[in-house]
Amino acid sequence: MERDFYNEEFEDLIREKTDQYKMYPSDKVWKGIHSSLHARRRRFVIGMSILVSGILLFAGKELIAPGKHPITQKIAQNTSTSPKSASEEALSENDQPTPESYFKDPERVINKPAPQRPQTLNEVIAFNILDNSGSTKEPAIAVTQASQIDIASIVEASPFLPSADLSLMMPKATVQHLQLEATASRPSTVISEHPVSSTIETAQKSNIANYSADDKKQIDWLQERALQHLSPIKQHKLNWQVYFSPTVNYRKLSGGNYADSRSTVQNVPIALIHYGNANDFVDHTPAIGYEFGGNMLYQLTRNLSVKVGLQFNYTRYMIRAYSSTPELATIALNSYYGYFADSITGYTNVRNFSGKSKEYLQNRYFQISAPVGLEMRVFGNGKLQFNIGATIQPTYLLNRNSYLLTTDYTNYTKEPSLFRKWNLNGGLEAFISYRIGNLRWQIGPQFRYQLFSTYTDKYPLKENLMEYGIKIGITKVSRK
Amino acid sequence: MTEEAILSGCLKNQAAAQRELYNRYSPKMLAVCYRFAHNREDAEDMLQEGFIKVFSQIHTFQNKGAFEGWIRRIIVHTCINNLKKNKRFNESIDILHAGSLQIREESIPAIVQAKQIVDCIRILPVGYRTVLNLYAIEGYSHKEIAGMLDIEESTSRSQYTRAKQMLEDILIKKRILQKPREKMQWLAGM
Repeated sequence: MERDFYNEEFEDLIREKTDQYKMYPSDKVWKGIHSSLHARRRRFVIGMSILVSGILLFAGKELIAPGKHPITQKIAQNTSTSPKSASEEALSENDQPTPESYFKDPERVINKPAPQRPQTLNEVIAFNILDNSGSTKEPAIAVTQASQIDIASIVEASPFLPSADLSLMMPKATVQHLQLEATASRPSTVISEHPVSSTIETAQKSNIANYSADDKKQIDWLQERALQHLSPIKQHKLNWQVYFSPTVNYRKLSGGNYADSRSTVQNVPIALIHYGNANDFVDHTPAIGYEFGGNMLYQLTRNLSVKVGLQFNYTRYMIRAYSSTPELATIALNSYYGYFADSITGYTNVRNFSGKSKEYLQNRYFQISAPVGLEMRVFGNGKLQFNIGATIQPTYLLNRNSYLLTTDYTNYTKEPSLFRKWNLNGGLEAFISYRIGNLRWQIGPQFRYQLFSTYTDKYPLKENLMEYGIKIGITKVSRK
Repeated sequence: MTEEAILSGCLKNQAAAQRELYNRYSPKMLAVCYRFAHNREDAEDMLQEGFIKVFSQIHTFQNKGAFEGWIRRIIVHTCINNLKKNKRFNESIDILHAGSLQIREESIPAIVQAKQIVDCIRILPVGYRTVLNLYAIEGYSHKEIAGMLDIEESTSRSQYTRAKQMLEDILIKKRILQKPREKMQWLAGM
């Protein structure tokens, strides 16, 4: 009794003294608590906003405002440079027209100006007789003896008269005729129009005929060069895709048959009365979630493409539970060696079977993943196609708000330490696609399954999330 | 700020209300964690984790009983889970070296004694210390302790008896406590 009295006194002393004792935590404790409650959510929201905005901006840029045609871009580049002088721009004798120069100034290529030669009778007459409007006027050329000699020497020296110009193509015979006329006439003979006009008309007619022939020659040359040097427009192998999919999300529970002698969970509560598969003891229903992302597709063959991308998933499902007074909740953890018992206890006011009032819990998961897979055209033509696809998606759990079932299936509680951060999902899809211009629109069903449990190996139950939905996507088919 | 206002603000996830609640209860709760933890850093980690749970589960507090008691229960469970996660129950300290423990004295005798007693409790092996904290100070029954620590109820009782004996020996050795026989003789002589 003496001892008992002393024991009580001892315990009272211990309790009283320890209650008096206080310690003041360092600032980092509150900073850690605050960042856990607030900044994490803010960073998550900011991060997701940046990611979504980036995907949408990029998709919009590629799909709605496609880049300029490469040829017109090059032309724009060339025309944006400082204008050259007329002499610089004139094609020299040895300057062969190129397809580029043809596109730049087709007329100039066809109507190649005459090379720089001494002025000939041809050019002089042309200048005086024909103006831009094509009207003729009285020539005013004085042909002197000297001119005759000049003309003759020029004609002799220039057997080939320039062609393909507004200047006349004057056959040699005509020139010689003019020469004779000039000789026959008085020294200060002015070559009148009339004698010249008929000659000019003839010359004109012959010039037109020759002009056409020349044109034809140049066009033929151009076609020939185009076939040789201009490559056909071919399809780029890299395409871009964005997609969105409303999904129906669900889960599959497994494990938890603690009555089984093979169970690794040894420290089950004494009051365990529920044996069997956990799926039989929970009431959960699917709920709507969504998924969106972007892919880069590389065409391996005509029918097969490989794709990599980035994707965001919002997954959730509902659990029917009941509210109750706070009570102790135990989660027995797996033991690896059969003899080490471990568990986590906490307080909860959510029951699984019965309670004060019905309550619907929502388990939510926010994930980001990098799908890698293949897309194959099963049948179809360039416009309408039927395709199938499969992906493997390494997934990271950004955030979650979910409840765990206790070992005795009686309560729901929260324990963040039992959730996996990294996981792996598999996806299958089939869709019909239709091409309009550079865009291919697609729609079709898809299915996604989580390959590893949502929880760590410590937690005895396994949860595999699954979702199915309708995927709507747009792919931009790039061209060179 | 009244307790109702703090509760209401915390339910709305207001940072000011959360800070007020933290300032009001963290000194005592850190002392609770310190009795369970290996060192001050571990105690602060337990405190941080415990308060995060308090704020995230504050909607489950149903105004039945003292708010401090509700917070304390969450903190204690967090400490226990932390110890189990870090497998601290395997550690032990040679009781013979308890005499070499240097205890800093402060000017206020009551606080000196409180700190001394807490330090002596922390000298105990972690298993003994945990059972003693839960039974003698936190007021849990041996049945509840057995459920939390995954041991038998009889084990909890025997652990507590040994823990108390060991603590008594330490306190007597440090002259914080008088020997019971000496005390009873002194009382009898009055």
